[in-house]
Amino acid sequence: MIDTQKHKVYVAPGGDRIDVATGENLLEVLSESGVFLRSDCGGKGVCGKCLVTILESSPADDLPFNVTKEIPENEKSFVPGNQLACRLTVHHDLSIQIPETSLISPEVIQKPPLSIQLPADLHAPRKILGAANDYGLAVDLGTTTIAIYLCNISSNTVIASVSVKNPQSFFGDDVISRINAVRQNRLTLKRLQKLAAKAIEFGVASLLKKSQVKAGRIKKMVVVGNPTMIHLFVGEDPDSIGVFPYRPVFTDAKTFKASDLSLWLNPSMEVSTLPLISGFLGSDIVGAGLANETRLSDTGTMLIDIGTNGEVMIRGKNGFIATSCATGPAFEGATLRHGMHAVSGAVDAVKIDGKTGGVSYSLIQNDLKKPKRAAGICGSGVVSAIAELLRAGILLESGQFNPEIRSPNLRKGDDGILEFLLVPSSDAVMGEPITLTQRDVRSVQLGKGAISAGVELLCRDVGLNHPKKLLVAGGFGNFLNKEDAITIGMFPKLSDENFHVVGNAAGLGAVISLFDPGSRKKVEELIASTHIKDLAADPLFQKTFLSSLSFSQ
Amino acid sequence: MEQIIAPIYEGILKGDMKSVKESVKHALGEHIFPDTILKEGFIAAMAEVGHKFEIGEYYVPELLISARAMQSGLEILKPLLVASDVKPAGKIAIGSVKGDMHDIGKNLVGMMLEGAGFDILDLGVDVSPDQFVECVKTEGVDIIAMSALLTTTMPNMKVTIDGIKAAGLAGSVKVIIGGAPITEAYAQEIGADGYAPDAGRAAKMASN
Repeated sequence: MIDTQKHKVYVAPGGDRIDVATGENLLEVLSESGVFLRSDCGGKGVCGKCLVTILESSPADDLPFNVTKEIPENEKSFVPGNQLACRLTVHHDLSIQIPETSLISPEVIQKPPLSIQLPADLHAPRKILGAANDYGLAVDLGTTTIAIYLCNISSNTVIASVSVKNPQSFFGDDVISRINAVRQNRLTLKRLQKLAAKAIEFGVASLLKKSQVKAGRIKKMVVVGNPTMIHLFVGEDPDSIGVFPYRPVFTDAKTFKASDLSLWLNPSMEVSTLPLISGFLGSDIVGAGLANETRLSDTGTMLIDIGTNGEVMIRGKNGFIATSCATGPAFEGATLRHGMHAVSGAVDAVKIDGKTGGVSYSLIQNDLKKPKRAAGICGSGVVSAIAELLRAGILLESGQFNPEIRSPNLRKGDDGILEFLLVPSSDAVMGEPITLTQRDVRSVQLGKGAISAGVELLCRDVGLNHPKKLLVAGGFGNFLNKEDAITIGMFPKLSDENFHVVGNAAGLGAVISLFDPGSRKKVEELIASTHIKDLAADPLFQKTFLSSLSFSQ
Repeated sequence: MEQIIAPIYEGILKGDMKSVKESVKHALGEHIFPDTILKEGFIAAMAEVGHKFEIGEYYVPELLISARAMQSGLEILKPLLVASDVKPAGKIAIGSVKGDMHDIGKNLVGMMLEGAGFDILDLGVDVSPDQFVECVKTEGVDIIAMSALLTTTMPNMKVTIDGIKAAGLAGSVKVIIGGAPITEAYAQEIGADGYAPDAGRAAKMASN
């Protein structure tokens, strides 16, 4: 029997009304209507971040939700009426309120490349007097985060930028789970394509509003991303990337009309993607390479782009060697008990007093008017916390919490395993303390082990022990403290002049490509001179990776 | 006797290869049965290592150095176990499924199973369903242990189990599976006999 019964979901306070068919999942329905909730676990009911408050359900005495058995640990503290949207199937009319902490909002990017210097040879094109300004968009389509830059292509300036969480996370945190989602149901390919387009439009709309630019003035868009993201964005099935030998369907640059990709802000706008290198080396590292072209001309210079997947390239005597390492989403805040993306409310640095063991921390806070309360911890915050715990001797080099040490904040969690209290419940948004668990530490170890093994093996291939110069790219690098990263053994010890945090270099590469169509040739040259290294096939990989897991420098 | 076995147990927990080897030799010199050294020294210690891993006290490197220390002792003990006709707990063929090139997790499980007293046949990575089936036919294994790290390769576990059934071998071999994307529910869905979330629990499960 086809159940055609319809229900209405009212979303307070905006009062949006969404029509829903019986049995539909609330999180999915909201996403498809452009209301994006956080869901680090991809809708598995584990992360507890897509919390909504049920204000009213009709009939009132009948609970509208079917909560499955997998109740997440942190759900224990939920007040009645609070439910996880991802666990909720709609069977009645509903009136819901979405707490701010559950909502994804476009966040203003205050860090590079907004403030970064464009390459010197990139002069502004001569402006025809009286001609209206044309605009373009540069997009770094990440697995977890989408960064969007609104640019004036008449004057070659970046006007404003935002980052939006990638709502495809509903189908999994990493590229492999999204490939698998498409494998299980071909219709998912279309949904993932649309979700990416919707999220980009969501971010662009806020940029246009803020900058008072009309959508019709946007003439082109350049998109970079890892190979799976680019495949999904253009509607190509990334299936073959998911299994050995991980081949992409295409690697060349592509151009579309916006409407072909479900982008409706300016349907006639030209949308292009930069070329890919292999199944795991995408146009993101290509863009980052383009943005750092000059620095990368020195032999021994290494570029690392850290996202859910880490991509690393080094300049050897004859061109580049590039590889990808499975960093995992820990550095983007996902998979951690109280992890979050590097947005307002995230703990981004931690200090532990060596004498008293007292903990202090700093928060990312974009709106200074809002009360300063912690909502979770982001990647750089975790690196900082672990570095401080190591310095204080609370964490051993093996990654185990030191059971011998007495610290007021080291305590046993519900599972009987030691955890470290970072923010007491009184200072946390959700009223639940923010902790760093033993499991969190282990997932950071895996991620940093993968990176440092990649760094070591690439250096070895060009006859070096460590890179001469290191360029760290990626949103994560923006807030990252260099000393902390070195303390946890993530990066080799290098002096300040040889260690550069270069911000969202992939996004900058997209900006450059937008401004200078001639840069496409440089991109082709970069790819032609790059040798792809399969890390797992290196006989030294296992040994190197395992020895990289501990926190020794 | 406990005093003679204790250094073996401690040596494995600390991952001290040299002390394990010396203590095994010493125990044999004191005429302790190889079987007793295996059970009360090696298997007991590796069970404790598995437990420490489960509760987060040990991690991959500790597991590995403990397993290596155990293996160094086992090398001395093995010929004596064979000579005194001590049968292993069973024979297990282990491998990463077709399309999956990851072997670190698989190797750790293999070591833990060895530490639980099993005879291990490592089929390596990218092992096709046919290879697993063939191995059941010719090698007389009691358990097949399959690993997959990718959600895209885990369907090959089902293909393998179906292959074992089709070959009429379902009653003669048990199948256990594991790997990052694997869940208990998935194991049940594809008809596996067991699932273990980590190496220590894989050894515990195989022993039961």
